[in-house]
Amino acid sequence: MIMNVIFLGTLGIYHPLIAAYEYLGQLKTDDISNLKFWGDRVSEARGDPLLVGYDQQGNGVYSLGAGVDVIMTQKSIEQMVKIFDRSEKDLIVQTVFIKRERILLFLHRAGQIKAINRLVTPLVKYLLNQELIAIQQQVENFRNKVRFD
Amino acid sequence: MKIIYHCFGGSHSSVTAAALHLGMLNRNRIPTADDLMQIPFYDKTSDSDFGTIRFMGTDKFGHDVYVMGKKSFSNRYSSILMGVAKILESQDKIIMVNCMDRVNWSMKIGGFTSRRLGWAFLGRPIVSWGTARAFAQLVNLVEITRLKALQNKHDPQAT
Repeated sequence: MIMNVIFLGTLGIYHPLIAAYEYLGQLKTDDISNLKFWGDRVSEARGDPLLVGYDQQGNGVYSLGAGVDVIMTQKSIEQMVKIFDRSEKDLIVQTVFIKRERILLFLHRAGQIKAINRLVTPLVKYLLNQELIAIQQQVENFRNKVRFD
Repeated sequence: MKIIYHCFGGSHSSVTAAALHLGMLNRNRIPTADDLMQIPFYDKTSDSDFGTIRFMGTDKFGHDVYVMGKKSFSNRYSSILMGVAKILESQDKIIMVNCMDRVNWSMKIGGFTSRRLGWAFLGRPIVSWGTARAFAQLVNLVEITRLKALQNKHDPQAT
């Protein structure tokens, strides 16, 4: 079955990125900041989905950030799929949430100032390390859902 | 080709542009408030419509025309949806048109008053007046989009 997957969250360079790597079975939890695209503000600002890799069937796995409007963006993407006469079998959007979304967004915005970014980077890493199990659980639930469908 | 006109609420400028594109409004005559209210979706959306891509019609060249409200996302929302189209290998079949730079203050204030505050009796005349003032700008935007769509039809690489 061909199915591209977009993991969608507030910031595509953090928790949806972790989810995408986890889904691909390539997540190394010893240092999550080594993941490709991690903290890449330029890619985040560009807006298009970040191609994290391909699964064993050759389907693209992507990470995407939509700020505070995650649900609205999910709705638009799902409608785009329908407009092009495609279905969930072609592209599926999976939202990824963490408890400390607001703090993460605040840190990300504060980090736009270079001097502050040095302080923010380890804080973001610490914060997301605390959320790893919850993110992995969301990916596992998604895997089960896809398997079941 | 799919053409999506988008603005803040998907209720005024994008709907007017789509109506112009589809020939629902005469581009040579500034519309009255009654003309505008005849357009489907004009000043009739709610908060739950944000992000919804609504079909307005098909133009004489066979292009499907849609409208969408994307809140304060700038061109980044276009990038997101163009990226999705690319994943679906359909990036040469879509044109995203941002109407926000054609919106004047009257439209913003009237739209906010009518849609967000729910005071249509107050906001509607203001937003209609603003739309009439921005009409020439919207005509210009639609003409550019029409040309782009026709160009793409003959040369998909031209996007």
